[in-house]
Amino acid sequence: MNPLLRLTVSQGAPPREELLPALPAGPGASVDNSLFAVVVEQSVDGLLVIDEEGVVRFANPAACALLRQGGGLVGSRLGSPAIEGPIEIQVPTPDGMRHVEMRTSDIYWNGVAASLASLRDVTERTQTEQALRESELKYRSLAETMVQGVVHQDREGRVVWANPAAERIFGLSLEEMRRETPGDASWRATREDGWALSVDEYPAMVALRTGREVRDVTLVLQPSEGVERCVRMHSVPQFQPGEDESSFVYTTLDDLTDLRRAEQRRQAAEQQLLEAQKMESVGRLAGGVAHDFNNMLCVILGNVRLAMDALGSTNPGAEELQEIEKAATRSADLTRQLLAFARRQPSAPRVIDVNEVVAGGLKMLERLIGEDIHLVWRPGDELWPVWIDPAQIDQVLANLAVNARDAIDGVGEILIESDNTMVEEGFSCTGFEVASGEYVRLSVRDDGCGMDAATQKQIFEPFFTTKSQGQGTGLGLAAVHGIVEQNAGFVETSSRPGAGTSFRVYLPRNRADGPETLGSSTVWPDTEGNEDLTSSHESILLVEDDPSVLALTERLLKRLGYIVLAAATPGKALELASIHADELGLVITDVVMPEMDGRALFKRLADLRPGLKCLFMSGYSADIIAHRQVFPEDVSFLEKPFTRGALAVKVREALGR
Amino acid sequence: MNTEGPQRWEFTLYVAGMTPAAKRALSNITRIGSALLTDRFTVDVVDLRLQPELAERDQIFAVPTLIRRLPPGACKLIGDLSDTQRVMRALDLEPLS
Repeated sequence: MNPLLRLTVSQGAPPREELLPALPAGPGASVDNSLFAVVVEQSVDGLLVIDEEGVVRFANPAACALLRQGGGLVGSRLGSPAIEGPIEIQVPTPDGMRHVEMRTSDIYWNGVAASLASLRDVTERTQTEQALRESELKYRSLAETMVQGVVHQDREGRVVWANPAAERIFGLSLEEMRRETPGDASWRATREDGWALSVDEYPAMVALRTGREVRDVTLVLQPSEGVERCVRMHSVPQFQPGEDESSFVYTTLDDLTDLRRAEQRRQAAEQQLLEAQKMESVGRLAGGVAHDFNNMLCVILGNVRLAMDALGSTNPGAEELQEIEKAATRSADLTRQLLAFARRQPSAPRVIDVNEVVAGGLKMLERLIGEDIHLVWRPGDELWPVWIDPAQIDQVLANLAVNARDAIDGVGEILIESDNTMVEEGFSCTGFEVASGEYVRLSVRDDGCGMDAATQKQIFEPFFTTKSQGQGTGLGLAAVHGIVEQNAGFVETSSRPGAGTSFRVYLPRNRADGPETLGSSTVWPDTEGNEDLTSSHESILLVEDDPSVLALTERLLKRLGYIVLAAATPGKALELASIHADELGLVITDVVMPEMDGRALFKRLADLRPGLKCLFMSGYSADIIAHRQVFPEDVSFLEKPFTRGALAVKVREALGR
Repeated sequence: MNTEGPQRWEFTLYVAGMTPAAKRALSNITRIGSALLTDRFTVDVVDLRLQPELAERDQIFAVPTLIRRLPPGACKLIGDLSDTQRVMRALDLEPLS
């Protein structure tokens, strides 16, 4: 008998099992022995008996094969196994390392303590696990680094997993997302047009319900906190093998927020450009019309005044002439508004104190707004100087005051304030280019009916009016826009229906040392009986290409007592000047003329007659004024159409320079 | 063997890359050495992937395998050396108290 196992029990010691050497099965061997021997011999696992010195005492064929020892392992010094549980060891082979799982048990071998080691080749399993780990790592890294959001939801729509991009888009951590159900989510989704979606309409839920892919759905996600995001979603349902119903869904999310913002900015810029182009075209048209119109008004006004003088105030026709004069004056105001809007208004800017100009115009404003509306003026302290034509301040205030008056039904209040203010970088104001810096702010606030947002968007457009037909020209605020823009300022508007309107005009602080500060705009006196405004018989060379204006102005000047040399062209003017050079005290010339512009003509004339004074007159110049925008301070300028009084004052002013 | 005195102990640990078992083996021999031999021992780690020819010299069948070079006398252990008692017995070190 050749027992394979012997159980030895000794007093005070734990029982010990002893594995005995297996003998080849053969005749006479017991069934158990031979069976055990066959199992050991044919085992796919390697079996080794290693003694305390680390020497192999027994090895089955699988062990020899595993450790690449064709000649046998018995007697080899493998090393004593020093492990507490199963571990993975590596076996070097010419084909690379094999991974082998080793387990050991303590046994006795022929009465000597030894280890029974079983070895199993797990190379394929290890390689598969490694490949799986690498694959998992690869896809996890991909999902975690991709810009696109990915959300995995179970069949109820609960979030199982989401990548960091999805966390950013929803503004929630994965844990927070997991705690929510689609029904009680902290965010809400709407369509781009603002239409709210029910939970069942979310792309992932549709994909789960229908088992079909839902592609390219753009929604606006509104988190409970933070900024709403515009997201394009794509949900793909997933099925377990053999199942007809989708068991989970993957949703990818493209965050379009920044893209949409950029698109909106581009559209806004495009809109602004179109608006500017539209304004430019309307401006050119308005300016062009105003030019000719002003010449005609000049003739009408001048001749009416002459006719009134000739007929006397008691004549039955005098009243009609006064009406003609009033209508012509209103028409002149209208053209002035047109030119202001078109930024073609000839202006004579000065360094001014806005408070002085406003204070000087208050009486005029009070007349404009009527008795039912209380006008309050709160000037700011130590206002910075501003470089602007004071007449333009009057025009801006008059337009804003009229606008405020018309917004007030019955009794109300208009508050005009001024102050200094700093405009920070990034401040924007619809319809204007805003530069940061120091500004003087002139505010006009009313407690009238206010405006809705749609109206506010359009108020500066020419010919836009909320007033009834015949009540408003739609040019008042357009003129304000034009004037303020011409002076590198901007207008901020705030209003709500029923809560009044506030216009805040920002005009840049003048830094340069201005020659003088000037108060309110000029009120032209009548010349009748005003000896200061009559002539000392100076000679004036008058140059004007419009025959009617030429004739009228000549007559007006002669009535004022001047000796007038009239020329319809610059050439004629030069000819006359060469003959009468010594007599000439002043040249009055139109700015825009076909042969030569007024400036060039004056330069030539000044060569002929050094010290010659000059008074330019113009209604609008598409070329010279538009390019230069303004006249220098040392040049006298008379805006057409003009009254006899204005002509008289300007001529005296020019001669006195 | 008495672990006190000036005698030095030198071990070579054969590995094939720092697999989990190799890391544990190094950690275990360092722990045992530090406890019993303080600073009088060194462990050289030999990576068979870099020096495969050394496997034959020391008859390395599998890794991790630890060989004691000093004090002289054949002594070889296989595995992650997690069976501390066996390691001490095999390396002829005093048991940890």
